Amino acid sequence: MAAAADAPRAHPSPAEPVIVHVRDLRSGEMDVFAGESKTRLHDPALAARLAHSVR
Amino acid sequence: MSSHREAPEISMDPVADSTDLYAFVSPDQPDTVTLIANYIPLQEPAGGPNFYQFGDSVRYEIHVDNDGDGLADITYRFTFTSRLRDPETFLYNTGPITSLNSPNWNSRQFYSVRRLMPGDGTGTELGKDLACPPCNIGPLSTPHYASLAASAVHDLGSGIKVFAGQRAEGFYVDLGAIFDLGDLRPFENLHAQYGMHVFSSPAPGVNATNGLNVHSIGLQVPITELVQKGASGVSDPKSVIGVWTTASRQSASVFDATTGKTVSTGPFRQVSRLGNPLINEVIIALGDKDRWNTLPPAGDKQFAHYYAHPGLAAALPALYPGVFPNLAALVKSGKARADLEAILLTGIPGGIISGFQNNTGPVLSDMLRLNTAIKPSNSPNILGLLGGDLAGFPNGRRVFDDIVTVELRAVAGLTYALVDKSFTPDAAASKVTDGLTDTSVKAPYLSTFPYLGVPYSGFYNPS
Repeated sequence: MAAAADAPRAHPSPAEPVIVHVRDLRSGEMDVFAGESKTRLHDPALAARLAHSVR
Repeated sequence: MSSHREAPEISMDPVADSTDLYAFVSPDQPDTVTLIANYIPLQEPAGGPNFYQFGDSVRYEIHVDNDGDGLADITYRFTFTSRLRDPETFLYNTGPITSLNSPNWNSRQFYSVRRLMPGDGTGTELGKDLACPPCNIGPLSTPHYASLAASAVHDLGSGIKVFAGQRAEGFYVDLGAIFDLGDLRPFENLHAQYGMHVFSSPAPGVNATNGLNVHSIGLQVPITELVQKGASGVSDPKSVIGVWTTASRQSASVFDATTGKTVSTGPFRQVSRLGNPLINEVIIALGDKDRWNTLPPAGDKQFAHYYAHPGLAAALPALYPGVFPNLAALVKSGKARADLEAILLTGIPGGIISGFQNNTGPVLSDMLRLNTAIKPSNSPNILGLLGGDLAGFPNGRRVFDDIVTVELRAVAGLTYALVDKSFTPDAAASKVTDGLTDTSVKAPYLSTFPYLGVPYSGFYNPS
């Protein structure tokens, strides 16, 4: 897994929303939005698990 | 319109849609500059029960560049919070609202103002929990509206005043005609009319924004806070500032059906921008408008071809056959409109107009440029520089300036002679107009901050 943060930040609080945008399922490229930050991940396995969790 | 609904994406997000921007040396406080950014276009005054409010999830900003690089040296950031006194009622108010803390006022909005400068982190909080006025509803709900709204002008200390709330639309324009294939009613008998012969004689202009409201964010700031230190006199480049406004939203949103609310998170991204009036409206092409809205002025070199070869300049001779022969020849020559580039992208250098300059250097950037050393005019001309009034547009912009006529005439070639002495503007270039003046606005402008008129009430408008 590789990550590139848009801006450094602490972990989100439990009450804070976290939104994940899987940009490309095959490469596992996804953006994770929390607080005022965005982190880009490359994790094909996680992307696949997220996709499979959608019913 | 000046910038109302000017781009596809922002036209679907009215609370973040900047409509007009004003920057001028305050006529009654000439050691200050007034900055006003308007949002939420075309408000029908009776639009309740959820009357208009700023977006709680929108970050509104007014930026000032004082070193000519097209990037903000000072940013004023406005953040809004809505509060309900009683979520059990469906009413905006449960009785007359006679003060900003009236117990009858259910749906209120408050805001904070921060000043940010490069390198100072999260900046300085200038004010918080500042009350917006209610919208102007009618004689029962808001019986003394003018004085009620005036009480929402907040003094932040250090010579700074702020106001955020509903105002009468001060921008006047004949939208209905202009968007009907470039019709200008005072000259519509000269329009080609696509062979349909609809108009046989001139007609007076119709102000399409009459009776409508907007939401204004107004700030009055000492000139010394905005310009570089040591600014002195009209010819000093340090006296010139560039101003623009932006609205930003967080990048990611989902609609949470369990609460009926939209949840937003992630970094703020710019969704709306406004410097000079009518630019993203008329100059920038449809395919680039949304992207233009996301960028700072510093990157405007990529859009310079739109200013150099505006589509409207080519359209006028086609729409009005025989009326603009010299403009037609200029367009056909392919020469760049250096006049428009100077007025809109760099500011006008010294030596072109006697006693005036508002040049910010070589960086092409769409900003409303104001030479703060030009004193307010005792007898303003709504045509600004074109009318010999150095204190008006495009030296900043006052609330009553006729920017539609000024830009029509400039695009029609009137200002090209300033940069090419061999060019003779068409006679029509100094006459073309949509037929409106500041007297076309029903609600009088104010002589003091926030200068835009008392908003129209829902009870009386339309009447």
